[in-house]
Amino acid sequence: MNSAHKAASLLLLSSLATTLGGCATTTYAPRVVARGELTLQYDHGYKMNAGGERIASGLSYSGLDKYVRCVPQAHTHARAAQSAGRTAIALSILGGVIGASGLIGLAGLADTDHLGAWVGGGLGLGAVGLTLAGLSWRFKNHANGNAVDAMNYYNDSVGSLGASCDDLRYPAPAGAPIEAPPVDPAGPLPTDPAAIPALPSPPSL
Amino acid sequence: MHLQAGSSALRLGAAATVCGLLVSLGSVGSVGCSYSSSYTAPTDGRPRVVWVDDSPAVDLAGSQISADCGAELRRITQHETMPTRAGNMALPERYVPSYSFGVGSEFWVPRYYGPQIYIVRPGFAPPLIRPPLFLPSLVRPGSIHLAAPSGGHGGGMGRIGTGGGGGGNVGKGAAILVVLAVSVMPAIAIGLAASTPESPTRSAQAIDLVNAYNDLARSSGTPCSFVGGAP
Repeated sequence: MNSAHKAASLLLLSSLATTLGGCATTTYAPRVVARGELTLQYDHGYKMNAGGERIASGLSYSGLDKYVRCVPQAHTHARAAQSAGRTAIALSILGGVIGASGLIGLAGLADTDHLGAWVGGGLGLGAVGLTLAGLSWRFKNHANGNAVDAMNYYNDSVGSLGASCDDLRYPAPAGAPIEAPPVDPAGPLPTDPAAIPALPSPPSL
Repeated sequence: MHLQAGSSALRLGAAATVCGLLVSLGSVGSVGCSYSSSYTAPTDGRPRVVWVDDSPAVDLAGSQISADCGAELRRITQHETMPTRAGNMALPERYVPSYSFGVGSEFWVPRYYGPQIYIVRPGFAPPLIRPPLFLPSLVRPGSIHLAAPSGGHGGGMGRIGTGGGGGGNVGKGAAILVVLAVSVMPAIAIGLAASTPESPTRSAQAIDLVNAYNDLARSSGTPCSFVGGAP
Protein backbone atom coordinates (compact mmCIF):
# COMPACT_ATOMS: atom_id res chain seq x y z
CA MET A 1 0.00 0.00 0.00
CA ASN A 2 2.78 2.38 0.92
CA SER A 3 4.62 1.68 -2.28
CA ALA A 4 1.45 2.17 -4.30
CA HIS A 5 0.85 5.54 -2.64
CA LYS A 6 4.46 6.52 -3.20
CA ALA A 7 4.21 5.57 -6.86
CA ALA A 8 1.00 7.53 -7.31
CA SER A 9 2.45 10.61 -5.59
CA LEU A 10 5.59 10.38 -7.68
CA LEU A 11 3.57 10.16 -10.89
CA LEU A 12 1.41 13.10 -9.90
CA LEU A 13 4.42 15.20 -8.96
CA SER A 14 6.29 14.36 -12.13
CA SER A 15 3.21 15.13 -14.20
CA LEU A 16 2.78 18.50 -12.51
CA ALA A 17 6.49 19.21 -12.81
CA THR A 18 6.44 18.65 -16.55
CA THR A 19 3.30 20.73 -16.82
CA LEU A 20 4.46 23.69 -14.83
CA GLY A 21 8.18 23.53 -15.45
CA GLY A 22 10.12 24.48 -18.54
CA CYS A 23 7.88 27.36 -19.53
CA ALA A 24 9.76 29.37 -22.12
CA THR A 25 8.80 33.00 -22.60
CA THR A 26 9.55 35.55 -25.27
CA THR A 27 12.54 37.72 -24.49
CA TYR A 28 12.43 40.24 -27.32
CA ALA A 29 9.91 43.06 -27.18
CA PRO A 30 9.03 44.60 -30.55
CA ARG A 31 9.94 48.27 -30.86
CA VAL A 32 9.20 49.34 -34.43
CA VAL A 33 5.47 48.79 -34.58
CA ALA A 34 2.79 50.38 -36.73
CA ARG A 35 -0.03 52.32 -35.09
CA GLY A 36 -2.74 49.65 -34.83
CA GLU A 37 -0.55 46.62 -35.36
CA LEU A 38 -1.12 43.56 -33.18
CA THR A 39 2.03 41.86 -31.94
CA LEU A 40 2.43 38.55 -30.17
CA GLN A 41 4.13 37.68 -26.94
CA TYR A 42 4.40 34.33 -25.17
CA ASP A 43 4.39 34.16 -21.38
CA HIS A 44 2.45 31.20 -20.00
CA GLY A 45 0.19 31.52 -23.03
CA TYR A 46 -0.21 33.83 -25.98
CA LYS A 47 -0.65 37.55 -25.36
CA MET A 48 -1.58 40.10 -28.00
CA ASN A 49 -0.51 43.72 -27.68
CA ALA A 50 -1.08 46.87 -29.70
CA GLY A 51 -0.07 50.45 -29.02
CA GLY A 52 1.76 49.40 -25.86
CA GLU A 53 -1.36 47.88 -24.35
CA ARG A 54 -2.54 44.33 -23.77
CA ILE A 55 -5.44 43.65 -26.12
CA ALA A 56 -6.10 39.96 -25.41
CA SER A 57 -4.51 36.89 -23.91
CA GLY A 58 -5.14 33.18 -24.19
CA LEU A 59 -7.06 31.14 -23.61
CA SER A 60 -10.07 33.43 -23.25
CA TYR A 61 -8.93 36.05 -25.79
CA SER A 62 -11.58 38.42 -24.52
CA GLY A 63 -11.40 41.80 -26.24
CA LEU A 64 -9.85 40.46 -29.43
CA ASP A 65 -13.13 40.40 -31.36
CA LYS A 66 -13.78 44.05 -30.54
CA TYR A 67 -10.30 45.10 -31.56
CA VAL A 68 -10.42 43.41 -34.97
CA ARG A 69 -14.11 44.06 -35.66
CA CYS A 70 -13.54 45.99 -38.90
CA VAL A 71 -12.08 42.94 -40.68
CA PRO A 72 -14.88 40.39 -41.05
CA GLN A 73 -12.60 37.33 -41.38
CA ALA A 74 -10.55 38.39 -38.38
CA HIS A 75 -13.70 39.02 -36.38
CA THR A 76 -15.04 35.53 -37.18
CA HIS A 77 -11.79 33.89 -36.10
CA ALA A 78 -11.62 36.02 -32.95
CA ARG A 79 -15.12 34.91 -31.95
CA ALA A 80 -14.21 31.30 -32.64
CA ALA A 81 -11.06 31.68 -30.52
CA GLN A 82 -13.06 33.05 -27.61
CA SER A 83 -15.65 30.30 -27.83
CA ALA A 84 -13.02 27.54 -28.04
CA GLY A 85 -11.04 29.15 -25.23
CA ARG A 86 -14.01 29.17 -22.86
CA THR A 87 -14.79 25.55 -23.67
CA ALA A 88 -11.15 24.57 -23.17
CA ILE A 89 -11.04 26.20 -19.74
CA ALA A 90 -14.25 24.46 -18.66
CA LEU A 91 -13.11 21.06 -19.93
CA SER A 92 -9.69 21.45 -18.31
CA ILE A 93 -11.20 22.15 -14.90
CA LEU A 94 -13.70 19.33 -15.16
CA GLY A 95 -11.15 16.89 -16.56
CA GLY A 96 -8.61 17.71 -13.87
CA VAL A 97 -11.06 17.46 -10.98
CA ILE A 98 -12.82 14.31 -12.18
CA GLY A 99 -9.53 12.72 -13.20
CA ALA A 100 -7.97 13.42 -9.81
CA SER A 101 -10.97 11.94 -8.05
CA GLY A 102 -10.17 8.68 -9.83
CA LEU A 103 -7.47 8.16 -7.21
CA ILE A 104 -10.19 6.96 -4.84
CA GLY A 105 -9.76 3.64 -6.62
CA LEU A 106 -6.62 3.12 -4.53
CA ALA A 107 -8.88 2.81 -1.48
CA GLY A 108 -9.65 -0.67 -2.75
CA LEU A 109 -6.20 -1.73 -1.64
CA ALA A 110 -7.28 -1.14 1.96
CA ASP A 111 -10.87 -2.28 1.61
CA THR A 112 -10.26 -5.59 -0.18
CA ASP A 113 -13.84 -6.75 0.43
CA HIS A 114 -15.07 -4.09 -2.00
CA LEU A 115 -12.01 -4.06 -4.20
CA GLY A 116 -13.98 -4.32 -7.46
CA ALA A 117 -16.24 -1.39 -6.63
CA TRP A 118 -13.40 0.87 -5.58
CA VAL A 119 -11.24 -0.01 -8.55
CA GLY A 120 -14.13 0.17 -11.00
CA GLY A 121 -15.18 3.56 -9.69
CA GLY A 122 -11.64 4.87 -9.76
CA LEU A 123 -11.06 3.64 -13.26
CA GLY A 124 -14.35 5.07 -14.49
CA LEU A 125 -13.63 8.49 -13.01
CA GLY A 126 -10.08 8.38 -14.34
CA ALA A 127 -11.32 7.52 -17.84
CA VAL A 128 -13.93 10.31 -17.82
CA GLY A 129 -11.37 12.82 -16.53
CA LEU A 130 -8.86 11.71 -19.12
CA THR A 131 -11.41 12.06 -21.91
CA LEU A 132 -12.43 15.56 -20.83
CA ALA A 133 -8.82 16.64 -20.40
CA GLY A 134 -7.96 15.21 -23.81
CA LEU A 135 -10.85 17.10 -25.36
CA SER A 136 -9.64 20.30 -23.70
CA TRP A 137 -6.43 19.97 -25.72
CA ARG A 138 -8.43 20.13 -28.92
CA PHE A 139 -10.17 23.32 -27.83
CA LYS A 140 -6.92 24.88 -26.63
CA ASN A 141 -5.45 24.28 -30.08
CA HIS A 142 -8.52 25.75 -31.74
CA ALA A 143 -8.49 28.80 -29.47
CA ASN A 144 -4.84 29.58 -30.12
CA GLY A 145 -4.99 28.79 -33.83
CA ASN A 146 -8.07 30.93 -34.41
CA ALA A 147 -6.57 33.79 -32.41
CA VAL A 148 -3.36 33.76 -34.47
CA ASP A 149 -5.44 33.65 -37.66
CA ALA A 150 -7.55 36.59 -36.44
CA MET A 151 -4.39 38.57 -35.73
CA ASN A 152 -2.96 37.82 -39.17
CA TYR A 153 -6.14 38.69 -41.07
CA TYR A 154 -6.39 41.93 -39.12
CA ASN A 155 -2.75 42.90 -39.55
CA ASP A 156 -2.84 42.14 -43.27
CA SER A 157 -5.71 44.54 -43.89
CA VAL A 158 -5.37 47.11 -41.15
CA GLY A 159 -2.75 46.80 -38.42
CA SER A 160 0.51 46.47 -40.31
CA LEU A 161 -0.62 49.22 -42.69
CA GLY A 162 -0.74 51.76 -39.87
CA ALA A 163 -4.49 51.87 -39.27
CA SER A 164 -6.78 50.55 -36.57
CA CYS A 165 -10.49 49.77 -36.37
CA ASP A 166 -10.95 52.73 -34.03
CA ASP A 167 -9.29 55.07 -36.50
CA LEU A 168 -9.44 53.55 -39.95
CA ARG A 169 -7.10 55.90 -41.77
CA TYR A 170 -4.20 54.59 -43.79
CA PRO A 171 -0.97 56.46 -44.45
CA ALA A 172 -0.16 57.09 -48.09
CA PRO A 173 1.84 54.42 -49.89
CA ALA A 174 5.55 54.96 -50.41
CA GLY A 175 5.25 54.14 -54.07
CA ALA A 176 4.24 51.51 -56.52
CA PRO A 177 5.71 48.03 -56.36
CA ILE A 178 8.63 47.39 -58.67
CA GLU A 179 7.59 44.52 -60.87
CA ALA A 180 8.65 43.11 -64.17
CA PRO A 181 6.65 45.34 -66.48
CA PRO A 182 4.44 43.68 -69.06
CA VAL A 183 5.39 44.46 -72.64
CA ASP A 184 2.83 47.07 -73.47
CA PRO A 185 3.75 49.99 -75.73
CA ALA A 186 1.00 52.11 -74.23
CA GLY A 187 2.46 51.63 -70.76
CA PRO A 188 0.80 50.24 -67.65
CA LEU A 189 -2.39 51.66 -66.36
CA PRO A 190 -2.04 53.54 -63.10
CA THR A 191 -3.52 51.61 -60.20
CA ASP A 192 -4.18 54.68 -58.12
CA PRO A 193 -7.57 56.18 -59.05
CA ALA A 194 -6.29 59.61 -58.10
CA ALA A 195 -3.47 59.27 -60.59
CA ILE A 196 -5.78 58.65 -63.53
CA PRO A 197 -5.89 61.86 -65.54
CA ALA A 198 -9.31 63.32 -65.96
CA LEU A 199 -10.80 62.93 -69.40
CA PRO A 200 -11.29 66.17 -71.32
CA SER A 201 -14.77 67.41 -70.88
CA PRO A 202 -16.92 67.51 -74.00
CA PRO A 203 -17.20 70.87 -75.67
CA SER A 204 -20.18 72.78 -74.50
CA LEU A 205 -22.63 73.82 -77.10
CA MET B 1 -11.50 -19.08 -2.55
CA HIS B 2 -11.42 -15.44 -1.38
CA LEU B 3 -8.10 -14.99 -3.14
CA GLN B 4 -9.54 -16.41 -6.35
CA ALA B 5 -12.49 -14.00 -6.22
CA GLY B 6 -10.12 -11.08 -5.69
CA SER B 7 -8.01 -12.18 -8.60
CA SER B 8 -10.98 -12.35 -10.96
CA ALA B 9 -12.10 -8.89 -9.80
CA LEU B 10 -8.66 -7.60 -10.58
CA ARG B 11 -8.72 -9.24 -13.98
CA LEU B 12 -12.07 -7.56 -14.60
CA GLY B 13 -10.56 -4.28 -13.45
CA ALA B 14 -7.62 -4.67 -15.82
CA ALA B 15 -9.99 -5.27 -18.72
CA ALA B 16 -12.02 -2.23 -17.67
CA THR B 17 -8.83 -0.17 -17.57
CA VAL B 18 -7.87 -1.10 -21.09
CA CYS B 19 -11.43 -0.46 -22.27
CA GLY B 20 -11.51 2.91 -20.48
CA LEU B 21 -8.23 3.98 -22.02
CA LEU B 22 -9.32 2.85 -25.47
CA VAL B 23 -12.66 4.65 -25.18
CA SER B 24 -11.08 7.88 -23.95
CA LEU B 25 -8.28 7.83 -26.51
CA GLY B 26 -10.73 6.87 -29.22
CA SER B 27 -13.14 9.65 -28.36
CA VAL B 28 -10.35 12.21 -28.35
CA GLY B 29 -8.88 10.81 -31.52
CA SER B 30 -12.18 10.71 -33.37
CA VAL B 31 -12.80 14.38 -32.67
CA GLY B 32 -9.21 15.28 -33.54
CA CYS B 33 -6.93 17.57 -31.57
CA SER B 34 -5.58 19.61 -34.43
CA TYR B 35 -6.61 22.98 -35.72
CA SER B 36 -5.88 23.38 -39.40
CA SER B 37 -5.52 27.01 -40.28
CA SER B 38 -7.09 28.29 -43.48
CA TYR B 39 -4.95 31.42 -43.45
CA THR B 40 -2.55 31.90 -46.33
CA ALA B 41 0.00 34.63 -45.88
CA PRO B 42 0.26 36.99 -48.85
CA THR B 43 3.70 37.31 -50.41
CA ASP B 44 4.18 40.86 -49.21
CA GLY B 45 7.58 40.64 -47.53
CA ARG B 46 6.34 41.02 -43.95
CA PRO B 47 7.34 38.05 -41.80
CA ARG B 48 4.63 36.87 -39.45
CA VAL B 49 3.76 34.12 -37.03
CA VAL B 50 1.38 31.57 -38.56
CA TRP B 51 -0.28 28.53 -37.08
CA VAL B 52 1.01 25.26 -38.56
CA ASP B 53 0.33 21.80 -37.14
CA ASP B 54 -0.76 23.03 -33.73
CA SER B 55 2.23 25.22 -33.16
CA PRO B 56 3.37 28.61 -34.38
CA ALA B 57 5.92 28.95 -37.16
CA VAL B 58 7.57 31.80 -39.01
CA ASP B 59 6.23 32.61 -42.47
CA LEU B 60 8.75 34.80 -44.27
CA ALA B 61 6.11 35.93 -46.81
CA GLY B 62 8.59 35.97 -49.66
CA SER B 63 11.37 37.89 -47.94
CA GLN B 64 14.90 36.51 -47.95
CA ILE B 65 17.17 36.37 -44.97
CA SER B 66 20.81 37.10 -45.70
CA ALA B 67 23.52 35.39 -43.69
CA ASP B 68 24.27 38.65 -41.86
CA CYS B 69 20.61 39.12 -41.06
CA GLY B 70 20.33 35.56 -39.80
CA ALA B 71 23.40 36.03 -37.62
CA GLU B 72 22.02 39.26 -36.21
CA LEU B 73 18.69 37.63 -35.45
CA ARG B 74 20.54 34.90 -33.64
CA ARG B 75 22.59 37.42 -31.67
CA ILE B 76 19.70 39.54 -30.46
CA THR B 77 17.21 36.76 -29.79
CA GLN B 78 19.64 34.05 -28.64
CA HIS B 79 17.77 31.50 -30.75
CA GLU B 80 19.88 29.20 -32.88
CA THR B 81 17.13 28.03 -35.20
CA MET B 82 14.07 29.55 -36.79
CA PRO B 83 10.97 27.37 -36.92
CA THR B 84 9.47 27.85 -40.37
CA ARG B 85 6.71 26.08 -42.28
CA ALA B 86 9.27 23.78 -43.86
CA GLY B 87 11.10 22.94 -40.65
CA ASN B 88 13.80 24.43 -38.50
CA MET B 89 16.16 26.77 -40.29
CA ALA B 90 19.61 27.08 -38.72
CA LEU B 91 20.72 30.64 -38.04
CA PRO B 92 24.45 31.17 -38.62
CA GLU B 93 26.84 32.44 -36.00
CA ARG B 94 29.13 35.11 -37.41
CA TYR B 95 30.42 38.60 -36.80
CA VAL B 96 28.06 41.35 -37.88
CA PRO B 97 29.48 44.87 -38.29
CA SER B 98 28.05 47.33 -35.82
CA TYR B 99 25.17 49.53 -36.88
CA SER B 100 22.91 52.05 -35.25
CA PHE B 101 19.46 50.81 -34.41
CA GLY B 102 17.42 53.83 -33.62
CA VAL B 103 13.76 53.89 -32.81
CA GLY B 104 12.31 57.20 -33.83
CA SER B 105 8.75 58.27 -33.28
CA GLU B 106 6.11 56.60 -31.14
CA PHE B 107 4.74 54.49 -33.97
CA TRP B 108 6.36 53.27 -37.10
CA VAL B 109 4.72 54.71 -40.19
CA PRO B 110 4.58 51.77 -42.58
CA ARG B 111 6.31 52.04 -45.95
CA TYR B 112 4.20 49.94 -48.19
CA TYR B 113 4.10 49.76 -51.93
CA GLY B 114 0.85 49.58 -53.80
CA PRO B 115 -2.17 51.67 -54.55
CA GLN B 116 -3.61 54.15 -52.08
CA ILE B 117 -6.11 52.41 -49.81
CA TYR B 118 -9.58 53.92 -49.78
CA ILE B 119 -12.32 53.17 -47.28
CA VAL B 120 -15.31 51.94 -49.23
CA ARG B 121 -17.63 51.18 -46.33
CA PRO B 122 -17.14 53.23 -43.17
CA GLY B 123 -16.04 51.14 -40.22
CA PHE B 124 -14.80 48.26 -42.32
CA ALA B 125 -11.40 47.65 -43.82
CA PRO B 126 -11.52 47.62 -47.59
CA PRO B 127 -10.85 44.31 -49.32
CA LEU B 128 -7.32 44.34 -50.64
CA ILE B 129 -7.41 42.46 -53.91
CA ARG B 130 -3.67 42.85 -54.33
CA PRO B 131 -2.01 43.07 -50.92
CA PRO B 132 0.38 45.98 -50.51
CA LEU B 133 4.05 44.99 -50.47
CA PHE B 134 6.53 45.89 -47.79
CA LEU B 135 9.37 45.16 -50.18
CA PRO B 136 9.03 47.14 -53.41
CA SER B 137 10.66 44.44 -55.51
CA LEU B 138 9.75 41.14 -54.04
CA VAL B 139 11.59 38.00 -54.95
CA ARG B 140 9.20 35.12 -54.92
CA PRO B 141 9.78 32.58 -52.18
CA GLY B 142 11.79 29.46 -52.70
CA SER B 143 15.41 30.46 -52.39
CA ILE B 144 16.58 31.21 -48.90
CA HIS B 145 20.25 31.77 -48.36
CA LEU B 146 20.49 30.01 -45.08
CA ALA B 147 20.93 26.37 -44.26
CA ALA B 148 18.22 23.96 -45.23
CA PRO B 149 15.60 23.09 -42.66
CA SER B 150 16.81 20.47 -40.28
CA GLY B 151 14.00 18.14 -39.50
CA GLY B 152 10.28 18.51 -39.13
CA HIS B 153 8.12 19.79 -36.37
CA GLY B 154 8.41 18.44 -32.91
CA GLY B 155 5.69 18.51 -30.35
CA GLY B 156 2.73 16.27 -30.01
CA MET B 157 1.31 14.66 -27.00
CA GLY B 158 3.51 12.97 -24.46
CA ARG B 159 4.04 9.29 -24.72
CA ILE B 160 2.47 7.08 -22.18
CA GLY B 161 5.03 4.63 -20.99
CA THR B 162 4.06 1.10 -20.18
CA GLY B 163 5.83 -0.71 -17.45
CA GLY B 164 7.85 -3.83 -17.94
CA GLY B 165 6.13 -6.41 -15.81
CA GLY B 166 6.56 -10.02 -16.74
CA GLY B 167 6.71 -13.13 -14.66
CA GLY B 168 4.41 -14.15 -11.85
CA ASN B 169 0.82 -15.26 -12.13
CA VAL B 170 -1.91 -13.48 -14.03
CA GLY B 171 -3.64 -12.21 -10.89
CA LYS B 172 -0.52 -10.46 -9.62
CA GLY B 173 0.10 -8.90 -13.03
CA ALA B 174 -3.50 -7.73 -13.23
CA ALA B 175 -3.26 -6.23 -9.75
CA ILE B 176 -0.17 -4.26 -10.70
CA LEU B 177 -1.86 -3.12 -13.91
CA VAL B 178 -4.96 -1.97 -12.06
CA VAL B 179 -2.98 -0.10 -9.40
CA LEU B 180 -0.93 1.53 -12.14
CA ALA B 181 -4.04 2.45 -14.11
CA VAL B 182 -5.83 3.86 -11.09
CA SER B 183 -2.84 6.02 -10.24
CA VAL B 184 -1.64 6.86 -13.75
CA MET B 185 -4.94 7.89 -15.34
CA PRO B 186 -5.59 10.75 -12.87
CA ALA B 187 -2.00 11.92 -13.27
CA ILE B 188 -2.35 12.01 -17.04
CA ALA B 189 -5.74 13.73 -16.80
CA ILE B 190 -4.34 16.43 -14.51
CA GLY B 191 -1.28 16.80 -16.72
CA LEU B 192 -3.40 17.18 -19.85
CA ALA B 193 -5.80 19.60 -18.17
CA ALA B 194 -3.06 21.85 -16.84
CA SER B 195 -0.65 21.77 -19.75
CA THR B 196 -0.59 23.61 -23.04
CA PRO B 197 -0.64 21.67 -26.30
CA GLU B 198 1.73 24.07 -28.01
CA SER B 199 5.46 23.96 -27.34
CA PRO B 200 6.36 27.04 -25.26
CA THR B 201 9.93 26.96 -26.55
CA ARG B 202 8.90 26.84 -30.18
CA SER B 203 6.25 29.52 -29.60
CA ALA B 204 8.68 31.89 -27.93
CA GLN B 205 11.26 31.20 -30.63
CA ALA B 206 8.90 31.95 -33.54
CA ILE B 207 7.49 35.08 -31.91
CA ASP B 208 10.87 36.47 -30.87
CA LEU B 209 12.33 35.97 -34.33
CA VAL B 210 9.38 37.55 -36.13
CA ASN B 211 9.36 40.56 -33.79
CA ALA B 212 13.11 41.03 -34.08
CA TYR B 213 13.12 40.56 -37.83
CA ASN B 214 10.36 43.11 -38.34
CA ASP B 215 12.18 45.62 -36.13
CA LEU B 216 15.42 45.16 -38.04
CA ALA B 217 13.75 45.17 -41.44
CA ARG B 218 11.87 48.37 -40.69
CA SER B 219 14.96 50.24 -39.48
CA SER B 220 17.53 51.65 -41.86
CA GLY B 221 21.12 50.47 -41.87
CA THR B 222 20.56 47.10 -40.23
CA PRO B 223 21.59 43.78 -41.77
CA CYS B 224 17.91 43.00 -42.38
CA SER B 225 16.74 46.40 -43.65
CA PHE B 226 14.19 46.69 -46.40
CA VAL B 227 15.56 48.92 -49.15
CA GLY B 228 16.42 52.24 -47.63
CA GLY B 229 14.62 51.50 -44.38
CA ALA B 230 12.36 53.92 -42.64
CA PRO B 231 12.56 57.57 -43.63
